[in-house]
Amino acid sequence: MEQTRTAVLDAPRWALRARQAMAVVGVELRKILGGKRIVTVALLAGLPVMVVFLVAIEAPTGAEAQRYFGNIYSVVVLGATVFFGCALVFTHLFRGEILRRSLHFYLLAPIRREVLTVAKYVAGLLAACALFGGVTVLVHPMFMGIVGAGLSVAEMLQYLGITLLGCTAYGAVFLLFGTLFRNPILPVAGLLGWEALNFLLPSGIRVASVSYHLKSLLPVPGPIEQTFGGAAQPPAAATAVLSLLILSAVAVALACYRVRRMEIRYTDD
Amino acid sequence: MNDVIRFEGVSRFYGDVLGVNRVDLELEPGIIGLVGPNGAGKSTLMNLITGLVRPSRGKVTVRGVAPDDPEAFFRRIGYCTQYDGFPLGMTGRRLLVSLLRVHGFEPESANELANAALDRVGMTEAADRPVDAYSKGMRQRIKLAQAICHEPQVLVLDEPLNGLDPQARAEVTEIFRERGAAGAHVLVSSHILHEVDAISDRVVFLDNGYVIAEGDAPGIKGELKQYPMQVFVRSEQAPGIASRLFDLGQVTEVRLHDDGAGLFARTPDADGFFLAFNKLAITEGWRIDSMGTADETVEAIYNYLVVDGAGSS
Repeated sequence: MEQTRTAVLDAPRWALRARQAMAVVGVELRKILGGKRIVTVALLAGLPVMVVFLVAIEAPTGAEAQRYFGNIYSVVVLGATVFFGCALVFTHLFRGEILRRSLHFYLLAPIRREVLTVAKYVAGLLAACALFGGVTVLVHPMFMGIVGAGLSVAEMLQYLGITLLGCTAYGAVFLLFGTLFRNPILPVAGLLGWEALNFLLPSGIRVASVSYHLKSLLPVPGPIEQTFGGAAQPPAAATAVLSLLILSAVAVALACYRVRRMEIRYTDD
Repeated sequence: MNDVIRFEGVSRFYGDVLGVNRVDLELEPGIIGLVGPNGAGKSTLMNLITGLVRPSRGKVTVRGVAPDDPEAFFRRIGYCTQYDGFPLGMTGRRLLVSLLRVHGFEPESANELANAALDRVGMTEAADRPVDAYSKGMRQRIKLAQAICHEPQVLVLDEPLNGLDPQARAEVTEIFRERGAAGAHVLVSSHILHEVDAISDRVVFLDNGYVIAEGDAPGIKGELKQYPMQVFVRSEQAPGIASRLFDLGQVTEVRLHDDGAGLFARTPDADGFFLAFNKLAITEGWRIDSMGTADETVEAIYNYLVVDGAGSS
């Protein structure tokens, strides 16, 4: 028994942290996929499939089909499934444990809180990417198949990339919300309003939005972009991707800072 | 000295509410009882030791390490909290193994350590049932297993005997004794004062956020000059002795035992009493079977310091 303890202490720090992070990812994945919330998340993931079934029958064919799918993707997949799905998964990573009064088990473990935060984020990201990325690669060929348009693998991968980026960015922001607010519903609603009405804002302010960057990556402009997009030049793809990755890194770093200063006083929550 | 828990001018406030104030303590290894009424600051003190809350002022170090270095600090600490929440959907065994994996143990070692801890708290049979389905006593035992499974040098236990039946209490206190004898710090807070008295090497008395006394029970009592100690004397001549005790001038109350073969005497100065009593006994030729102090218990000191309010004066 003494040897096992010594083995832990003697391991290089990076190896120890990697092992700890993997352990947290495993525990968190089990909790995300085994919790009651997964039902709501699964329903959200199923929403695009249902919508595609309902609208594809009367959808136009040919080149119009691509634009039509772009609209479905923009509104349903990004606007509903990815946004609300990530909100459910990521705000709960810390807030859920505080509500269950079980966060102290993690905070009493000899793990750096930065490692804990990043590992929880990675677990949420893996779950979100698997679910919502899976839905994306399912509904695109399904829609194209129903309307009789040819399947473009490149386009499908482009949509998949946007979904994964959406999970990355929204996930990071919602992770931060979960560490900042006792009730993350209000800030989530605020962000929803900001994202939805972003197109009305001056172009200089529009850049402070996840959806602005995500939608600039769409193979075909979304419905709002088609109507209002002319006023602002969309960012280059590389700029949009880089901006979203930077935003995600900053949000996760802020969440790490918050968790590092976190104290256990469940009575306040 | 690197094997002590040290509080240096530690205060902790929750907004305007005082948690603990100006605590200076140096706790050597052994079993240490934390005693005080609700709101005295026991849980705050424990949370400060375990790094779950930070001091508003001052510094806490545990065996030379501060919570700022979590990888070294939390390896030394095991905390059985008062919180009754558990991670979602876990069995007792899964909880322990998962936490040990988060500690950094390889799967095989984590399983070994978890099994040993489960066995130690008598939870092997129930280990594969969901924690949410456990009784209060079982949850208490699984929390204890979680606290001891990585064999920490400092074990902090907030009301660990709550919900346990008498046999389980005996088994659990045996674990405390083992750990204490092995050179660990075992800090126990409990409302059950006679149990604290029975297992603790030393006691920290808290009231209103202040440490009002600290040490072993006789030591604390010795420092309390005004503490009205109760002394017992066993002798067939008890009635005669009782009639002469007030002559000593250090006795405030005398009470005969029910069998008439002994007495209790209350005195504010035990040392002075014993000196004067011995002289008088020799002069009078009394035959004394036995004598000693009757209330060197944690409960008696608690009643004096906290209930009677002598500690805050």
